[in-house]
Amino acid sequence: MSAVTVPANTAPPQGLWQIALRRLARNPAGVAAAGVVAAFLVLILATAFAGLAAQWDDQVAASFAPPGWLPADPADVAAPAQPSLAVPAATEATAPIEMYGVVDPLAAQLALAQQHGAQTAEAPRNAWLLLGADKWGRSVAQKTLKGAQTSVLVGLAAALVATLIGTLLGALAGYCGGWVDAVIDWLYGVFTAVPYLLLVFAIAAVLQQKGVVTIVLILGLTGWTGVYRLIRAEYLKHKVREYVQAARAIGASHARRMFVHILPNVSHVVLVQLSQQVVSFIKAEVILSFLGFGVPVDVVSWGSMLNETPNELILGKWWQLAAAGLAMALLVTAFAMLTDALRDALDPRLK
Amino acid sequence: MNQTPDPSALADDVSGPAPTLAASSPAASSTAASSPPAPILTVQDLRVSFRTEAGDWLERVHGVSFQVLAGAAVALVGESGSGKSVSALAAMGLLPPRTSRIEPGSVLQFAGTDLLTLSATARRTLRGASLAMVFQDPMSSLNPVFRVGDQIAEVLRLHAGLNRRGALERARALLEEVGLPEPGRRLRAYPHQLSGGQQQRVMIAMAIACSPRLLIADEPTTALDVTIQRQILELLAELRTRHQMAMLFITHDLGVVADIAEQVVVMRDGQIREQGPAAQVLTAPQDAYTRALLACRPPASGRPARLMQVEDFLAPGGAVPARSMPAGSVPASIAPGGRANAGPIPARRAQDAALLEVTGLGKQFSVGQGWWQRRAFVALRDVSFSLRRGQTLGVVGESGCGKSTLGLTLMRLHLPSQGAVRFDGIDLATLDDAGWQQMRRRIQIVFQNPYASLNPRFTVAQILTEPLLVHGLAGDAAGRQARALELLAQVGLPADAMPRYPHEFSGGQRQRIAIARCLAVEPELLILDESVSALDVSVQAQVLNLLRDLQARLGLAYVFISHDLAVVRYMADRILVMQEGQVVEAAAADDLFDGGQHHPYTERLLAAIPGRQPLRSRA
Amino acid sequence: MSFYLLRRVLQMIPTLFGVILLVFLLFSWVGGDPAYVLAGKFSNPDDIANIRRQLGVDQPLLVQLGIFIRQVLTFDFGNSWATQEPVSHIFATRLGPSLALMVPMLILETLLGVTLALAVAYVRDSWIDRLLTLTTTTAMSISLLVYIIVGQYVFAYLLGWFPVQGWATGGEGWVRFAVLPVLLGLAVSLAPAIRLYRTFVLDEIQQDYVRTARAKGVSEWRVMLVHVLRNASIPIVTNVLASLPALLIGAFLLERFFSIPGIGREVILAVERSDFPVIKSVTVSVAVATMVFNLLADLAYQWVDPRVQLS
Repeated sequence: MSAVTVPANTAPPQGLWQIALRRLARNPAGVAAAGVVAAFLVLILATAFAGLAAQWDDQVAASFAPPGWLPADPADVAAPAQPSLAVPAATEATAPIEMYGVVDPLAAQLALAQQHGAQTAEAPRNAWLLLGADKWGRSVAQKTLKGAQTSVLVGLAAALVATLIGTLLGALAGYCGGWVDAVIDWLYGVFTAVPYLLLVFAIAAVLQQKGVVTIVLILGLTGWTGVYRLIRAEYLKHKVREYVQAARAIGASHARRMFVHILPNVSHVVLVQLSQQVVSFIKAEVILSFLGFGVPVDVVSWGSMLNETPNELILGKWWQLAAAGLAMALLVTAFAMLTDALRDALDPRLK
Repeated sequence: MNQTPDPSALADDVSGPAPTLAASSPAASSTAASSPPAPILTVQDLRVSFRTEAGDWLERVHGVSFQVLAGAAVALVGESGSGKSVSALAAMGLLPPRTSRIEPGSVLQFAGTDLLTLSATARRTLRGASLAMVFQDPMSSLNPVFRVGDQIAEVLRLHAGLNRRGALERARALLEEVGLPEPGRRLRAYPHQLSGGQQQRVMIAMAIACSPRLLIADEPTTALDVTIQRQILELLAELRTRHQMAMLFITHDLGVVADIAEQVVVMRDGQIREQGPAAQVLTAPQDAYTRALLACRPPASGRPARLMQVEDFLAPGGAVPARSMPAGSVPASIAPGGRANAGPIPARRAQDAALLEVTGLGKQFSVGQGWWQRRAFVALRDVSFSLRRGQTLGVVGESGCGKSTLGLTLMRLHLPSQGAVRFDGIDLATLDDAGWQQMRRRIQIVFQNPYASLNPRFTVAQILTEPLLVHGLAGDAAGRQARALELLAQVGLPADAMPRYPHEFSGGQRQRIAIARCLAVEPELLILDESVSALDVSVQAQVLNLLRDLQARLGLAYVFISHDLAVVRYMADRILVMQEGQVVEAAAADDLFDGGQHHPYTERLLAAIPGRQPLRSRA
Repeated sequence: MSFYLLRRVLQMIPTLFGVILLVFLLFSWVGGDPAYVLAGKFSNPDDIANIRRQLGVDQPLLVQLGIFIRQVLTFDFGNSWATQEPVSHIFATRLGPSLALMVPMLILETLLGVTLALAVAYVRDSWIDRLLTLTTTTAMSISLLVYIIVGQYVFAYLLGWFPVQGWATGGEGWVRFAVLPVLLGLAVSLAPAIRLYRTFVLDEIQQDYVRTARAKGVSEWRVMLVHVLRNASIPIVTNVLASLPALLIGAFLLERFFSIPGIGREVILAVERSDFPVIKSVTVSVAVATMVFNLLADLAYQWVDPRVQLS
């Protein structure tokens, strides 16, 4: 027997994912990005399930209150305790004012409001007001957190839907070829003939009811085309590789070849695509919500926050723009850099 | 292979026809060569390091020293990973700047000038004009979007200062010189419109355009067919004489060395093992590794039961030559019906009955042309043969002759268009899917490319248990694991290979895994489609020995497909020679090499075996 | 060649039919009954029935499909539901401003993008490269909205260098009103363009023919600008051509913010107002334009890459 003395290999087995993880760990930018993304995910989970920023819709400050850490501006006044708008009982000696024989129905309340305004002293600043308040006195910080939850969950969910559809269709088209490929390719041609955002607008125009699920479905059902094309190309490439021929020679069935043999060789592409889709869907959702076609009005999103900003800027109130813009820039940059690092780490430069 | 010219005859006549080119070494002057020619390239203590992914530097070339004299031809020989290409690239200054570095203390001199201290501009002036290089894969080495003539003209315009018209005229003359037919038309061709051999001629024309003093050829013929290889070697030898240039020829094939070089440098693992005059090194090597390389090749005569392997030479105690055995004899160790356990074995017929009978096999592919027309491309035409159990049928031919298609059609990876294939009496065309599933247990195939035939994401354990899973063999998971370990042992791999991935193994080891995968279903016929062609010579010997062992122990029949006549001769009992889809000759292995009259194509193939016949220069 | 063109045009028909079908299903089936939308808040059944008859939505679906197909073929989509302006007129007048934004943006983006990508590829793997990658990634992550809002606020409102909003026909529109939107659009689209073109260039630099060129003694400049660029221009050209139709819609935000009367802004208004004829016509027209430009991209591909033979 022609035995070959192979030196004992004591290193751990080196699958693609182990190698990729090691490469990723050596990439400082990638590690930093992963950290930022992880931090965001923790915050979002807290917002979604632990009730963080749950009262974002409540008024906690005066209209356009500046951030708590800015030097106090004597012109600004902190919010008074909930001003009562109830109609005061007409018990006081405030006789209805008579003017020309007409009774002013609001006179009593007006007088009361003026009294309140004069009374209010400098209330202590709200410590939670790290990023100021918007037009309705809602905390921008809480809105940013809640908006992060909306945008990221929409981005993630839509990316999952789109990647799932794209991968399945790409695998079928690339592997089966023939009429299956022709039909799916026709579908692809139809969906790409219309520019992506236009298609989304058209669907948004048609669907009268809004909701987070709706927008996830819209984005997901229209955004699968990029993934499809890549996965189809990968399957075409791998279908003729010798290891697939060998699998066929051994007698593996079509389904087995598609999903047990080829799919693990393609999964790194799928992961990178997923990551990329999350980024582009977050950006798309922000734009849609900005235009009013996205999430409904009772849900806050970075897009809806940005919607209020042009008018605020003219008044010199910049904190909502800064908060939403910076938060979004931070998350998307981190995600994009993570995508890049993943792609580099998963680059199949294995011998 | 054994040329015996007198290497000390330096003052040879340059212009006369030299039947054995290895002898002529044109001197720099025509007077009696009392002074030895000056070295044109001096490499001394060259150390090159590469940066790994982790960031540290790994030295791959450990102090290499050799010289190329003016007008001489030196062959740099080694297997993959020996550092021969790296050394050449270092001399040219083409190593990737950020991931490699030449360690201090290395000396690279060209015609007396120190290359390492030259400025980048000065170095660039040398490149292409005095120091030229030809690469291995001409298709990718030529710029695909520029015409061939313009690419050659670029060198001339850069270094010789010609204008465009002048350069193109000179390019035309060069194309004629390198033997390209219709040079005027070819000037305007794009690289993809030329064949492999023609592309390589273009590369050579580019390299000699400015009459360099040294031409470095990095495996220029490895990617080409055997007959084309011979033509290119002849061309290089002739150009060398005519332009009086020195040549550094890099190759892994020792047979080629004898044809083209006077001096030989043998490298392994970044070090020089031996160097000296070709005649001496090839007939009386001093170093054990060189001896091993020479001995590992399937010999020109005789058929030893076992090829020598490198380990035999490097182990203490030296080598033990194997005994020769006549063709067709069955080694005594074969056990009739000896097979591994498990699985119902279909009743086998007598040993002498044909296992595989192929009659009139034909295969056409229809290639679309335009919208409606479809052209038929005939890959196989009327192929017939029979194969007995335990025998090996060799199928030999150049690329495009249909030998691979034959193998794939037998495996039903292509559907035959005409003809009949009978396996153990069963007509394969009558089988349905279930029948074919059974048949896949009896016929298996080992592919050529060890890097592509194993699923990169499967562990070895998964690769080996996959066929067991598909066919429901070996019981449960534990049984499959045990069987996989058995298979590993059969092909000589250790048990700790199980959780590892293919890329952690070398080419030869991967082929073993591929063979083990085939053995899992206990086949009776194994199709070996160029299974050793991508391996180094020493590794090839190991795998060939393994295959013969398995054949002896398990009674396998082989269809051995290869372009390498020497290997086929060693392995096969009968040989089919194929050309353009047809069998042009079928003969017993020994008969084919006996020197008698054969089909003209067979003659050409035989003549093209490196080292068998001296190169002819075109008069 | 003409055979190839014919074949491609014929291939466009099923795709076009698919688009028509998609738009039709979307608006006539999923979209429900537009009559309520048009009738306004206070309507009576007679009004609604009347509107239905006028729009033709009381017909069976297949008949409606037939009508829609005829509309597409004759490019007569009727009038906008909101403004009663003929849709074809909308197209004619709004195309000009959109192009006035798109064309300069495309040209500048390609020129600058390719130049910068070449420069970046030249210094690949150095710290400059990494810094640039970080910069472009960050630049791409800031939403287009933020750029426009901040840009408009700072450069137009605060500094007064450009008009805040508005449009003028003719040359004045280009010179005065288009500058800031084009600059902002460039700022947004330059980063992804550089990244993409850099990838194309880097792919080419690793090829064997570059090694051959260096072996011939060609200078690094020439290698980049002649050898590499010529090969990289293949994917760049096809990318530019294929992305043209999408730019029409991509500029919609710029048009909306700067009140430039282009097609993008029309689409947004139409969506807000549920103005189906406008949305349908724009969708179908842009789809046709996309298919035509894809064909042009393929033809250009063949012209630029000698290896490709269109059969």
